Amino acid sequence: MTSRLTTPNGKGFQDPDEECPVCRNTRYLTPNMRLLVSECYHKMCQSCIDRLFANGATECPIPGCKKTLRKISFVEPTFEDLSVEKEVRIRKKLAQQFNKRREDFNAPKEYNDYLEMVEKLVWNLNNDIDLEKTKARIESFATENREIIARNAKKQFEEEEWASRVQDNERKKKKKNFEEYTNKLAEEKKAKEAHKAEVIELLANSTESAKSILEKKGVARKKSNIRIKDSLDNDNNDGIGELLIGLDKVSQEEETKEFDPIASEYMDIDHYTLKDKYYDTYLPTPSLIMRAGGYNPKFAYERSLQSAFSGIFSDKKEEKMYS
Amino acid sequence: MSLAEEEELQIESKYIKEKMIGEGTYARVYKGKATFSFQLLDLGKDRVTGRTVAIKKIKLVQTEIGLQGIEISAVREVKVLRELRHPNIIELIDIYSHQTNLQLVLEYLDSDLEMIIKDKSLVFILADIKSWMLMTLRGLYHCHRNWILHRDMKPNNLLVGRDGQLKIADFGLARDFAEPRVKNMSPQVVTRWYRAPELFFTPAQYGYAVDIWSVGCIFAELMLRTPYLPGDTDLGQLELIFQALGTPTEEDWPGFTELSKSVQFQKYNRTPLKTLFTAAKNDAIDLLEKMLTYDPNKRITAREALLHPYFRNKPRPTAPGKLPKQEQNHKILNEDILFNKKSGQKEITMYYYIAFNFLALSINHQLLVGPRIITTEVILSY
Repeated sequence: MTSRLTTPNGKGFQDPDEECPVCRNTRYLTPNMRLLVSECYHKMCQSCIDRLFANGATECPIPGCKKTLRKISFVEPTFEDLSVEKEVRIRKKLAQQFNKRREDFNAPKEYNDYLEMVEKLVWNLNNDIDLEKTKARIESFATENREIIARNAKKQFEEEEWASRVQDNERKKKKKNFEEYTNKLAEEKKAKEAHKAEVIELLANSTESAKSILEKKGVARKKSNIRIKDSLDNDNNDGIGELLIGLDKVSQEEETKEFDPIASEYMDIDHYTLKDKYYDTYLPTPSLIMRAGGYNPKFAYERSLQSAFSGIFSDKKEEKMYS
Repeated sequence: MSLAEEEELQIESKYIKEKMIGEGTYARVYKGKATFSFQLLDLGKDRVTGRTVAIKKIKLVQTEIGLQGIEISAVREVKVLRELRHPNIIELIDIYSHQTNLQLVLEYLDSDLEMIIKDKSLVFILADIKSWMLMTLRGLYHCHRNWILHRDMKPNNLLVGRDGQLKIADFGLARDFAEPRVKNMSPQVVTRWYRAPELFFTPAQYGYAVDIWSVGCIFAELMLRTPYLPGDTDLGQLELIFQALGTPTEEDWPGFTELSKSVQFQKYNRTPLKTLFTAAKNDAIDLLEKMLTYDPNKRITAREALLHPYFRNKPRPTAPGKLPKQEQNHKILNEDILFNKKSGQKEITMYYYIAFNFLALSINHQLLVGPRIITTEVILSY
């Protein structure tokens, strides 16, 4: 409950102080404000975008940024921190081309140099250093390594496919184990009941003494119990425990029965029974609309009865309280 | 001096005001201490025990005959609180008048549920929420069984003490209900976000159900850590309720069509609460659903809510002393940051704060650093 902070409309937790840098409107005042982010990584709210770009492309309204933008180029950001958003996007884009792996290189040093180069490119793009040069380098890399890129992309796709299949299998296996375990528990319970019925039957009809019957049967049952427990331990030792939380619910409910949720120091006023209807010429009969507003003469009757009966039947508990 | 005046003075001398901590429309609130003097054998010495109290000084309001009247809400508060005594309801310790002023001496609690919900450094577990709900409902049940409606239930009015006990406060809107005669009631009650749907249709009569709706909203807020239904206008609030819980039909709420005949509402479908409250267990969802029932006659009562399986099932409610609470120093820091936000002096305050903590630790009992006073507990233990 605490880990997921949500608003009624189902979006993630939103900071009420967040504001649109263009119109200075805050989320506190307009809870439904949608902040979108442009190609040049500037935030603004939906209504500002609608207003500014109603007549087609214009310059970015943020001072100092001269980029020409269109309405369509705004997207919803994944991260609140725009520098993170920018870097993630750059890395995602680069990763499509720079997907060489360890096995594509002969020596570890070459691989390290390659990784170093990619980091440098990301840094340059992220901080707008030598943009032209960097872009040219990326292009030349893409044309030089076209074959390797295509091959690695295919490989990656296959690997992802494989991983999802493995995960699927694991889930199925866990489910199966869990079902087996619940079945076994049910069987054990059945066996217990059958045993109980048998003992009662014996006690009722046999001529033997009750003590000897119980001794015999008791020992037999203990043995069978142990056997079942052993088989359970052997079968289920791979992470089934966490699946069993739901099973204990019934026993837990029994445990907390003695809990007193009301815990009032005051005595209830009783000795009266509240009837559904009274002959009453005083209070109006409630119309449908009065009832819909929450009016119910029942409470007036109950209150009157309580005032009539309170204090008549004195109780020690109450006396102590007032003394 | 008349006997009555003398008596008043005697009560007044028992309390010392320390500083003003807040000001509302009809009262100024001071933090103070109670002094109980009793004689130790023949030594003739007075002993002072310092129970911290809040002293509410009721302001006078302008009436036809001059600056004489006191606000109706003050009258309500006194009237109601004198009747109620319960561990989960704020205690009215004393009342006295000083010349023309009326002063209420109330229990002092330094935190409230709103502050706790907003403090994102605190982590709630399911048992904590259950504990707060239990204390709220116990207090509310005590009001209702004494036929008193609170009419302003919200996290801000649920005060939390150092010991973790939650107490319902601010009875400025409270009144009794189910009187054996029909008297019109004002529908302009309860803070909007926590206002029950029937109140928007200006009924002349209503009952316990309005408080239960508010508690339902508080329950949801505890789980979400953000207000559940924050509407910005009265009509917008209804719209928001319908969006969240589906527009009611005549079946859900008999009489709804007649109530709402002047306004046309869009038909929304009900989304199961489970989709929003993903981490809540089924018993919690069931209780929430019963509290947020449209038909006020079918809405769960405080007693029924307390007897709901939610409170009996595991996990058990956390003991009040173990509930998450705000650190005292932490609170001071928060206030300072808020205060200095406008002037942009956040860093400087942080620096002060660190220095303050360091001094508090090293000198331990030295009292003043800048304008701040170390907590009363420290002073007492000194």
